[in-house]
Amino acid sequence: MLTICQEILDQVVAHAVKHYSDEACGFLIGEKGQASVTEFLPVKNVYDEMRAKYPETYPRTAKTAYLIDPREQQRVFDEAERNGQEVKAIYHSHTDHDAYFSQEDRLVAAPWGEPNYPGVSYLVVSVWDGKLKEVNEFSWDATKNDFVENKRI
Amino acid sequence: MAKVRIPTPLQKLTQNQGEVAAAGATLKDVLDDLNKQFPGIRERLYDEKGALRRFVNFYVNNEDIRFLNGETTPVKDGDEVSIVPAIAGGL
Repeated sequence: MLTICQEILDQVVAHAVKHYSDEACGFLIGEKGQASVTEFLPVKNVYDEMRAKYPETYPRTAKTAYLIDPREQQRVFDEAERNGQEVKAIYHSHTDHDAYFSQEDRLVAAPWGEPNYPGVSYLVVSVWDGKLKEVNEFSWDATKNDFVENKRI
Repeated sequence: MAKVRIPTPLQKLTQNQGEVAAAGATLKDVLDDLNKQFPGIRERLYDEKGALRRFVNFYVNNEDIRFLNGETTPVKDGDEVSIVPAIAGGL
């Protein structure tokens, strides 16, 4: 499990609550090779913008899906690399649903049977009726060939 | 030849190379050549209907091909083609 201080967890939750009933998303950054998170980096959920342009490719809405702008994604990974840091976790929220790792979450995180971003955890924040319910962390377990859940809140 | 950046989970198809060279005048041609050199890569990049997978982003010189001409985006010698898994999900 990652080491995430309460202050950063609170920021993640606040971001998710603020965007309810849409899904919110972002990154947690830390020093290379360390297990602790030092930075909270919220980004925009661009699902609805992409849906407006490519409705067939993006049939859902931001209420049930998130998508990080690919250019933003590239910028975050490149900037972390330049600063001797790395992406430790990617977070997103589920609104009026629990903090599980959905089939869609798995499909996109490991489309070819292993994780796209080895070593990066996924945090899922559950917000019901605009209030925090729970937060779970999902990290890849190579022996199980699957993501395993750890309760955070 | 274009330089093609391969994402970590596909590098076992490219003999662990993160960057390979492939030839072609468009993105489609470059991906065809990539599949000739590294069989099996096509089905990782295209869905059952023959479209580029929605959870994979393709860039030519750092421009997302969705904002260029998609598969027919021209590629020149020395251009950099990047294949980057998307970050997305939901319920």
